[in-house]
Amino acid sequence: MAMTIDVEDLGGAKAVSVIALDGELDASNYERLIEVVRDAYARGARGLVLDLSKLSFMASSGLFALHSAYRLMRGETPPDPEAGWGALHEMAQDHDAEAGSVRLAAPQDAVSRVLDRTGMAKLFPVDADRAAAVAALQGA
Amino acid sequence: MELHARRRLLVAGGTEQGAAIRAFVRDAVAAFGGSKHASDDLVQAVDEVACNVLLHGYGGQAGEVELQAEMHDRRIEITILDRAPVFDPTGPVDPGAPQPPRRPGTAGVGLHLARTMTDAVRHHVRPGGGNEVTLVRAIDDRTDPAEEG
Repeated sequence: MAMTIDVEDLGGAKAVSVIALDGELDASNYERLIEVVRDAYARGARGLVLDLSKLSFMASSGLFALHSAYRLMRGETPPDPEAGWGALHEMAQDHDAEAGSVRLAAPQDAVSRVLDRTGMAKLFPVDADRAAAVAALQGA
Repeated sequence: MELHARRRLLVAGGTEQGAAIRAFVRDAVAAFGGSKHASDDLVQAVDEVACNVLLHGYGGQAGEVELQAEMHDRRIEITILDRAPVFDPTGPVDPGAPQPPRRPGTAGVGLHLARTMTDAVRHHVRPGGGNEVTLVRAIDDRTDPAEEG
């Protein structure tokens, strides 16, 4: 199953991009997501909502894409794909989740379990839906 | 004991085969009567192991991976067979442990997921070369292991 990526740029007090993923995020397509986030940052987005409501599967390569999104939205380069756990733990040490500029909206159960099992759920704020995530980023 | 036929899938190529691999696992678990969690867990674990082989096992060359699914005593066993150089995914992947020899790019996260999503992981070297990795998961829901960060 392929994955489609839909991007919506929102104005407001803080420029926010909403990236909706539909399908399965895996080793064959995670780099596309990283490029879409890179483009959003280049257009001026300083807050990012990943709408996961239609994402049915996320491989470990998808976790790497999430970590890359976190770094890109801070104006940093993506992590080294070879760093693996080291990069995730580095992220945990410097990460203030509630102050972060990347929020996850409405992950399905299978994706939530992956986020939980790897500790990533503690690193990204998770909201019930995209509207709540956007509101949290824009301080509404 | 209820009998189920062994199911097989042979794929060749790269990570674009992931979708076919996951579909095979979902179909097998459904045929065996597995729970939603059993299906999600095995899909995750098999994808991580099989795509690791397709990405790194053959040194950047196209290679084959065979999947076999069976059920024994209400446990689903999915075996991933390849002809790649020997790689044992049952070695330590704890982030605090010394890094074992590994394939480039794995860095342990996917293998950690494969282990935590299953009840057992077995590795054997195949006669004639290659790896046989078996992932075992109860067909029912189970108590989740402690979350790891």
